[in-house]
Amino acid sequence: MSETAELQAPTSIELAYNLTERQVSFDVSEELFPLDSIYGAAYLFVDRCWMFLTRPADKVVGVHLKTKDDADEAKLEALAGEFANELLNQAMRVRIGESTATLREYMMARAFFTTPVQSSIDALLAELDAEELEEDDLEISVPWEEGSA
Amino acid sequence: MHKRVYDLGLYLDSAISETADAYGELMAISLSTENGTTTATFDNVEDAMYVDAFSNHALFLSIQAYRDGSEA
Repeated sequence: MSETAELQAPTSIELAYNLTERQVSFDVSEELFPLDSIYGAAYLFVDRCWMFLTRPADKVVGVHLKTKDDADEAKLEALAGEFANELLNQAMRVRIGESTATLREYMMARAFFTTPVQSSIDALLAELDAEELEEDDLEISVPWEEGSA
Repeated sequence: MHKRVYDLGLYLDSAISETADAYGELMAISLSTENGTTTATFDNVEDAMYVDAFSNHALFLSIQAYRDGSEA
């Protein structure tokens, strides 16, 4: 059986520009990127540019980014690209957060609800102290030469 | 006059109202809600930037409320 997969050319992403308004707009599907990740990316961009979100269709969010200063097409494209990258980053964060939620809950529960265990170093030091006290009840210091003689 | 339509699935109604209160001194803002959207009409706008800033602030408050709700 042949294992060669049929490679499909990636579909192009269409970004609509509005240069007169220093604005770049594009649609994001909520089926690919949950609203949490769209909000996450928007939160990071809200101090960099003017943002406006619309709902052009069901499960689709229209993202409109407008620069605060003058911008050419390259700058707008870079801005949209950065937002798309952050969108991916946030989607990954959401997915990892969901997949490790149980583990995090378990570790938090263990940290809060288990009795603290004395570390092995503390236990060894305590054992050494106990042995020393057994040998010399009064804990009187003896010079090394006399002690070994 | 400027007009913006905010989808209430993306923007929290209370966030838009709170933003309108905050920006009320800069321009005249009237809000009307119907069919899951809130339309904000801005009058006496000295600088169009205020409308953009209004949208940013409403979005910021909506995201904060969404996150507070998710964490609760």
